[in-house]
Amino acid sequence: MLARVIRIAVVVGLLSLVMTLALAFRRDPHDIRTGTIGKPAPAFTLQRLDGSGEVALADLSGKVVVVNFFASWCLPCIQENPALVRVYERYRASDVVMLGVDFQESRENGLAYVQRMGTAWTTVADDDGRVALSYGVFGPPETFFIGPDGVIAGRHIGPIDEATLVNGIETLRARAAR
Amino acid sequence: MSAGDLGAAALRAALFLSLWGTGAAIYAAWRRDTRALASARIAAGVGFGLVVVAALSMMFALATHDFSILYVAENNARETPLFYSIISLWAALEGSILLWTAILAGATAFIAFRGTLTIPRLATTALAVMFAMLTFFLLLITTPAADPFARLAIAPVNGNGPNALLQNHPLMALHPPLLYLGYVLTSVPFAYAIASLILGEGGDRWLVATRRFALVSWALLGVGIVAGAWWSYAVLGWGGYWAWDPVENAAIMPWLTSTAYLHSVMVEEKRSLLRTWNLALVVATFALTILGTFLTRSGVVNSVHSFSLSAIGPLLLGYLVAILVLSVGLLLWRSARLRDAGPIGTPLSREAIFLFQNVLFMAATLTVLLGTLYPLVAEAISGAQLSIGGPYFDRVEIPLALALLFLMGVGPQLPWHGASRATLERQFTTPIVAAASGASAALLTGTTALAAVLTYALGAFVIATVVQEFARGVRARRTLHGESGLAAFSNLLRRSGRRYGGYVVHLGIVLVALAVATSQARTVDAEKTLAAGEAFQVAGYTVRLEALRAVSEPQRDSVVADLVISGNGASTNLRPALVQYPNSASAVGSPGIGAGLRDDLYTILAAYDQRTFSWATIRTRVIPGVSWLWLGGAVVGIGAVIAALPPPRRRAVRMPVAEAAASAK
Repeated sequence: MLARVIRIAVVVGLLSLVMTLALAFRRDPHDIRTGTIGKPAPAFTLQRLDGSGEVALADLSGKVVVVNFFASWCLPCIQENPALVRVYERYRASDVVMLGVDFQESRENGLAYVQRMGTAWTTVADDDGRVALSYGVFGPPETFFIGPDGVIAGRHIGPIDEATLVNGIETLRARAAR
Repeated sequence: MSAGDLGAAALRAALFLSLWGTGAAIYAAWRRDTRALASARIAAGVGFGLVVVAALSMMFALATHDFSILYVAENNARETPLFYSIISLWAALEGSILLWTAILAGATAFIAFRGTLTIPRLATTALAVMFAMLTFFLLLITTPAADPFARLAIAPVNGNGPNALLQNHPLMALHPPLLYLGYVLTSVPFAYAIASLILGEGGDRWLVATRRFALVSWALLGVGIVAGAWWSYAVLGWGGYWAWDPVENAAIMPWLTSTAYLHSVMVEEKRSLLRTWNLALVVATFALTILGTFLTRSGVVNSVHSFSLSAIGPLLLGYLVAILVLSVGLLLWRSARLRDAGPIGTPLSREAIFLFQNVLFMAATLTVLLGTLYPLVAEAISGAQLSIGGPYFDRVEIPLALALLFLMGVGPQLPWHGASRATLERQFTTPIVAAASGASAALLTGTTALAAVLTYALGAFVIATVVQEFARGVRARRTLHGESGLAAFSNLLRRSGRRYGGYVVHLGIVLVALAVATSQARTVDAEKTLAAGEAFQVAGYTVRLEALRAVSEPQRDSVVADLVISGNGASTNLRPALVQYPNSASAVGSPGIGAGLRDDLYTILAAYDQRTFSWATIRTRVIPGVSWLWLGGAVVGIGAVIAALPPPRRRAVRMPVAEAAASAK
């Protein structure tokens, strides 16, 4: 009798262990709840990487803004670059603005990188990393979706793919059109 | 052909051989076919060679900075020194699994060539199990899930460089391979246990065949854990060595069940008891190594640190489930045949102490597992993200550890089958006196924390039992063989290595326990902001800031504080630094440590004047007895070596047989 109880207990225990582990996959490790989503995007004014003036987030209000934090030494940034290029080409004539924020490195390296990668969208330099800090960036690459109302609607940690980018943008455009 | 192509091709060829070997070994075991066994042997040998070639190609690619390989680009940079380039083989997931596979292939080849000589059918079945596991790992590293040789379409000009924490201390060369060796070698007893269950052999032959493997994997895990604690102490700059981090828990859990097994296996050998239990412990140890790998590599816990999410999580979980289903199923199916030879009997016997000890080890394992998994359960149920901190583990594990320390003294003093009153008095008088003096020594030196005082008392208790055992053994040899004291001592270690090596291990564990208790109870902290030339006092040491300087190296930039230490008989220079690696968002603190047998002076450069270098904030910890922790780890390792070495007597027996065979020809 006791042996039977032990057997059942062992099987039930192991089953619940496996269940717990399997359930853990439902959570997305990229989904880190820092409370930025749903909050107004922190304002910033940053110099363009090529030194040709400044860009202020406030000037872009009323548009869908995709802010992509990157650095030249960051490999996942190189990996996600083709997706960014395709999405940029797709929306370049629309009210969607893509903004690359270079941080954690020198400006020369950043500029050399965007020239090498053929980055055509606006890139700015976050020299002292304050903007990245205000957005709670863990590390490059990280992408934020900001709606026409200036509120952060989405966030993606790590390299992003084309589908996620398009999905993020279209959700915001649909919301704006309503 | 580049090194990357060579490595990738070698792995694919090894996968083919491993699949072949699985089939050949199954056929050889089933039909007792010697030709199939010979073919499986060749597959194992060549397969091992190929995986080694793959691992060496990866090291070569790292050393030559071949950034067309994604792994190299992610974990290496032109500036990375050669030493750290090479050991970057285990700096990240894909390389670690490659190393893991290489060790597993080595163990498979060992069983194929050596194991199958003594007990062919059991070992051949175990070989099939090993091949099956090897096939899984080779599948992992030849598919995109964890392909170490995956290519980048555009090779970057320079790579990312290894994780800052992994290129800051040479211990990184030692700690992961030791742990992986320990992890992987647990698969050998597991394979034999499964083979024994499949064949329905009720006997204990699997256990004799794998005793040494179990001991060696246990020792490597233990020494690897201590090396990891040392690395954490010397690199992370927080002045501690253990934080109940999921990665640490993943390593300690199989070590706990493996320790339980090393003891309960003696009960099976001496009294033919606990047969199912021992099989279950072997299975649990192996399953926990896979669970640990899953937890730390799949990104389900510790998510903030694991951005590179790969498909490896579900695959590892599937592997774990397959192992659990297979082994638990076999255990339940065969348990009727695994009848014990009788009940345990009186609680005052060695076998009963082993049983209590096993229960405590299981409790420790399960509570660590619970603490590690609880955040997952909580998030699945309530959606809240939380983490279980040190206080839970300290509260639960310290009493268990103290109880185990007590049993460690009691067990060896009790005879098998039960003790008489006279035996008890003879065995325990000295140890109890020692325990009382241990407690008084603690109180007299100003240690008042209950856990620490108990650790001193129980530590003295165990030391007394070990000394008593050695004294008795030496005395017995002197009267029986007329040996000198020293000869008798070394003969004890050589001829009864398993027993006396075990006592040496017990001493090592006591050292570890005393070090933990002392350092936890009596650490002194101080922090001071100094201008150059100024000094301050902490626990008898004088810490003077000579200068603050910037040091530039190709792979990193550092700010170093030159400290001159005096007092307590010390006269030394320490150089705590803040190191900035180009790929790291924040500077890494590199502590300056003045190590000593009495205490360590641990210094950290916490902050400094970034403009003129005119001041620095120095954080210091005076940590007594922490060196004993590393020493204890070394003693455990030495004891395990003594226990694992074959006694000379056995060779003497084998020789005449070999000669007889030779003369018969």
